[in-house]
Amino acid sequence: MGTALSLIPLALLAGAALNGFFSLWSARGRSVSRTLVHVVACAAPLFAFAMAIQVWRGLGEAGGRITTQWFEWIAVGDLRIGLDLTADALTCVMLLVITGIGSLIHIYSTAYMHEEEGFARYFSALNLFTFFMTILVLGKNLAVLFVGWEGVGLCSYLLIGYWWKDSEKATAGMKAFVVNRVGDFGFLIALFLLWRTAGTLDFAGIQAYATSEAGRATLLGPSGILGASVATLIGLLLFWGATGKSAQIPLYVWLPDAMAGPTPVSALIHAATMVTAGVYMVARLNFLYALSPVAQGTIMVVAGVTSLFAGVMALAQTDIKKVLAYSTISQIGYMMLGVGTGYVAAGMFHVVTHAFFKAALFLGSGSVIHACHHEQDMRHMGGLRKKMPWTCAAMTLSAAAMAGVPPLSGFFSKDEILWRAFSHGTMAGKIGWLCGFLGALLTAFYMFRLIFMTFGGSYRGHAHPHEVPKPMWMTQGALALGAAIVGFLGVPHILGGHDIFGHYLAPIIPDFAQPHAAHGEHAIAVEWSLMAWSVVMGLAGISAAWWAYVKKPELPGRVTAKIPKLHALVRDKFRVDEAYTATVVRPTESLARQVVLRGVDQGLIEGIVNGLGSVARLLGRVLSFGQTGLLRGYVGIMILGALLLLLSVLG
Amino acid sequence: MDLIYPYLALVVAASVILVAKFRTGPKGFAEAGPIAAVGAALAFGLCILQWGKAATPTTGFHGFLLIDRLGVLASALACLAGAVTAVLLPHHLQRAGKDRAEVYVLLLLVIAGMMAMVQTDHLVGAFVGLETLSVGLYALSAALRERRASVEAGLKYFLTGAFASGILVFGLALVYGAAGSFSLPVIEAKLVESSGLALAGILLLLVGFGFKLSAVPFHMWAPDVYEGAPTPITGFMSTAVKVVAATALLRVLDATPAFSGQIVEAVGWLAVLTVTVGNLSALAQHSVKRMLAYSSIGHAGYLFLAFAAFLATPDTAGFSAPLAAVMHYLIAYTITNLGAFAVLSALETADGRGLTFADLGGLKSRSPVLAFTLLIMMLSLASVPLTAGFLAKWNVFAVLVERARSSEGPFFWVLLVALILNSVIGLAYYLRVISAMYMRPAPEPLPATSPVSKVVMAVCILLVIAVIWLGAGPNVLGMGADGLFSIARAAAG
Amino acid sequence: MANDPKAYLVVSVLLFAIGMAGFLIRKNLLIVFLSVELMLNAGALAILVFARLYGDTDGHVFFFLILALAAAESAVGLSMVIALYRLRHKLDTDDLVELRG
Repeated sequence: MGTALSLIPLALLAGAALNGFFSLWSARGRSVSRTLVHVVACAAPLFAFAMAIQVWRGLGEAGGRITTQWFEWIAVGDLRIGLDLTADALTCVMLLVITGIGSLIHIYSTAYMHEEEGFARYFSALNLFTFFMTILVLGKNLAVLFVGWEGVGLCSYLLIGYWWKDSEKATAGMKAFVVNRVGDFGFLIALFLLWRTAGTLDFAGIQAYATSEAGRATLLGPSGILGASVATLIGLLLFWGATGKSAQIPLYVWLPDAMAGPTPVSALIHAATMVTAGVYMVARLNFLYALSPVAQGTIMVVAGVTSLFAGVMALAQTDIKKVLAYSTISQIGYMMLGVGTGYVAAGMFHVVTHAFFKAALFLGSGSVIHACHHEQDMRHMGGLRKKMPWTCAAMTLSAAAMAGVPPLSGFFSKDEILWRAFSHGTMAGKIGWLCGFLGALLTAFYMFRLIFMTFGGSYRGHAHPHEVPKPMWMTQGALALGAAIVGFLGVPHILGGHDIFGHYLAPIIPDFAQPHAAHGEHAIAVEWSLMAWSVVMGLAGISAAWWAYVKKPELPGRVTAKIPKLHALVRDKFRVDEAYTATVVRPTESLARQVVLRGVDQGLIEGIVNGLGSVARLLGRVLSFGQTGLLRGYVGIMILGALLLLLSVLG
Repeated sequence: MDLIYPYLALVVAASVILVAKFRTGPKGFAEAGPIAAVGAALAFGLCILQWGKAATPTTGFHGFLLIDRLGVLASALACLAGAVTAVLLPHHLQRAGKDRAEVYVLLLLVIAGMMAMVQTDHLVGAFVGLETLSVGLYALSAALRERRASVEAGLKYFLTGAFASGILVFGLALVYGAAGSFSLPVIEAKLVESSGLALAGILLLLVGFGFKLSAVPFHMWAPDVYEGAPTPITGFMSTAVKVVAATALLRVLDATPAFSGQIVEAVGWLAVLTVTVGNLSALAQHSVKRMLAYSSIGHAGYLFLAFAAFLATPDTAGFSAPLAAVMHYLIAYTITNLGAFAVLSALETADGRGLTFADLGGLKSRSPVLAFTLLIMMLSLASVPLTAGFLAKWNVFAVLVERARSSEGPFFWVLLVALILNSVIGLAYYLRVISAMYMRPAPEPLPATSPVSKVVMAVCILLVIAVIWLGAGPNVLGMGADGLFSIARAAAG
Repeated sequence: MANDPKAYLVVSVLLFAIGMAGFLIRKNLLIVFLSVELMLNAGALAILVFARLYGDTDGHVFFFLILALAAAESAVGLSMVIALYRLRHKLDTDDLVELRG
């Protein structure tokens, strides 16, 4: 079993290396067969997928955990970090998603990137990304996880900037880099604290520590910072890191821009896998979060607000990929809400279902963009239903799944999250639930707005759209099919199901308790009514979208005309990015703007960051202005410094 | 006798070049560079061979020479820097049309001076070493004597350097006056109680070494000299000199524990000033070389932060974590900065005009190897994880946290905040280099660069491998991310 | 002299201060150069005073080393001054301002 486990990342690494070699080969002017590159690129994740199935099936025999040790990486004093891989139920879920959906996206890419230059380089980076992603979830300790965490980031920038001739895309890559460094900073401090507290970075070791009497006492004890307990401090710092990678408030700003990359990349990295790394990390450390209600509450509130806020921003986008980008932020909010409740199976289930329907949607949007000759504006689409029937069917099915139409997958996973948040019994849980509940309406509305604007009505563009090649519609069809049926893995008990998914993850959740107890006999009634209400919300959203974009297409125009300022504000994503620019360019003007944006603290936060930036540069100018080149000035300052030094110490 | 094998390698190589030079006349000859590189590399290898035995310190030459692991490590780094410089120099000098053999002789003797400075626990020995390297470097800075910038750099370095030497000598005199000896063990035994005379002397020594380390406010010469000197020499100065000056200063501070408590805050404030001024000034630069000059001032500041932690750590026999942090930092920084300057020196144009950010435009397609090298070096300087620079700064961070949690708490929190804020500022200007190379278009017209030799390319690739390997690699032959920790600890123990 | 080194030390400090002042005040490169030498010798004088006080030979030896060093420094320094003169025909420290910022 250990061999199969090692082979998963190694196969992907080999694929990346081979394609990297082909890329260098072709850079030297030698021709490389496209077929060869495609075969290598797809064989690697497919093989990894087969191995992942092996591991998954062998997990039961191995007692729920398979471990393999590569080598000792760092060993300093008490700190021993091995490059060790381990797989348990949680890892298996992630592995199957990464390699399975990853394989499909690789296959899709072979057709999508057909006309592009440098395809070997592209596939090399895609394989490398999948490699790092598997390392991230396979890591036996936080240090290995961090290697994967940084590695996927690196590949993400490489792939966003795939066409680096375009400076806008280059800037997007840079923005993603900087924002993620801000997140990493919190993450690193958390690692350090964790190491100093628990003496290990090993997940099993930390868990043992957190459940031991002494460790529990230390973690619940005061940290000396703002009255937070040690567990809270570590938990919040880790979540800080997660907000960067998983695009939550306040560090979400990079994700919409990251859509500048090729669409399959958006599907794989910025929807299905990498952005869920933060969710995985919180789920992995659930035993730590269980010790800190404060950290859990923070996660639930931030995640809930993110899901609602991003949903609002998705309403007014006209770029098809931007709608999907904001919807991704919103959906990760749901996942975070789920893991924030402490019942991580809820959040992880949404990771799985989301991976299916969002990958299908992204691939579908890629097909649409491909068919419309790189047109991304939905106002110049429409009527594609007849021209691209397969794509239309796949996307509609996925959108319905995401909107929570029963019995498609999104219905089960979203419902579970909302139910867990509602029954969490805390204020934060209720806030998270309310945001998520309202967000469900928005989700249904903006998704079907997208469907109706793209496929409904008549064509408004100038290209000649046509159905995409077979590998493209077949992969998106397969994903959509998955999106439709994967939900049956998590049918709750009250619907006569067995919640197979929840039971599968049970070994990694400390208290696998049903929240019914808290609500007594009414619990079942409450769960039923919540479920009914979210179905109503979903259907209401879809109907509203139908009403506004099919029945009365002039309605949205009239509405936006009535509230031009609000619409403009939403369309411009609350002008978070503009506020960012204006504080640098026109500090005085931005002052007024920030009053307007008081409700959106991003403007303020980022403004301060930028303001500091310009102050720093100004100080630098002043300092180098003092560097006159005059020798005696230099010596004078030296003498002054020496005198001050002598006086301060001796005097 | 076997104690001085590394010195012999250097001096023999220098003599060979000198003798050959007599035969070829004023024109110079092409083999001088390779001979110097081989000599320095040989000395490096001989230093490595001494590592095992140096576990138990031995003295020689009537107590003038001390072979311990700290000194051997610093010497090895100086030799390494010298060898890389000797590889880079011919390309650079030939482009200016002035490949002079004397330059290599001076370089080799400077390395010998550096080794003498750190392989001793006698202040006279250290001073003689320091001056040998300084005088040599004055001349090396002005090596392109037909260029105004180079001569100006040499003279500025010479005059401020001599001034600093004056202060240093006076400091030595005061310490001598208080302790009655120049030998550090004797000084440590004599100066058990603090006295004004000795304290003043130590502070003056701090100024003198601070000058070499370009600590603010004794740094003013550094940007000008670094900009004006031939680029490979700048790379050499900004790495090897810092290594040996830091090592020698650590020896002095280690021998005067009675004064640690009194100067720790002063050193701490020097550190805060140095990181802040260095990083802020770097932000405002247009020339890449000058930016790197300020960045190296910033890195001296990080070293000083570790010095403060060193002074505040109670004197326990044997191992000191801050000392290990300093040595780790020096190794990572030396390799990284050498790589950065190697690229810079390869890219410069024949007219000696400084390279601006715009000149780096489109480098990723013009020269992928150089661009990638500079990319990795910038990431390491910015201490991005998985590079050598990250682990190095991590260590400094860790020792400061250690101190901040102890009794001296509040002050070390200030130092920690300075470290963190400046790391963020650093990220900003290092990223500027990366974005210029990878995301901006090539300048029009393209700067006329001359082709880069295969050896220089090979050196770049080796340094990249070293930076990544020492930052994230497994141990091979005792070296790796983890091996580096052990080596730094062994040197500090 | 034997037991009262104070007077000699005062002289040494004065020499040191004069050297410093000369560096700051004078513009001519050669004079600035001489001022630096003065500082160096002030330090050397102090070392000699202490060497006599302690009856220690190390100090005397160090004095000779400093002398030798000063000679080496002058050789390098003067050659650079000549190189500068060839380029500019002036020896004013205030002209060394090409490198700044």
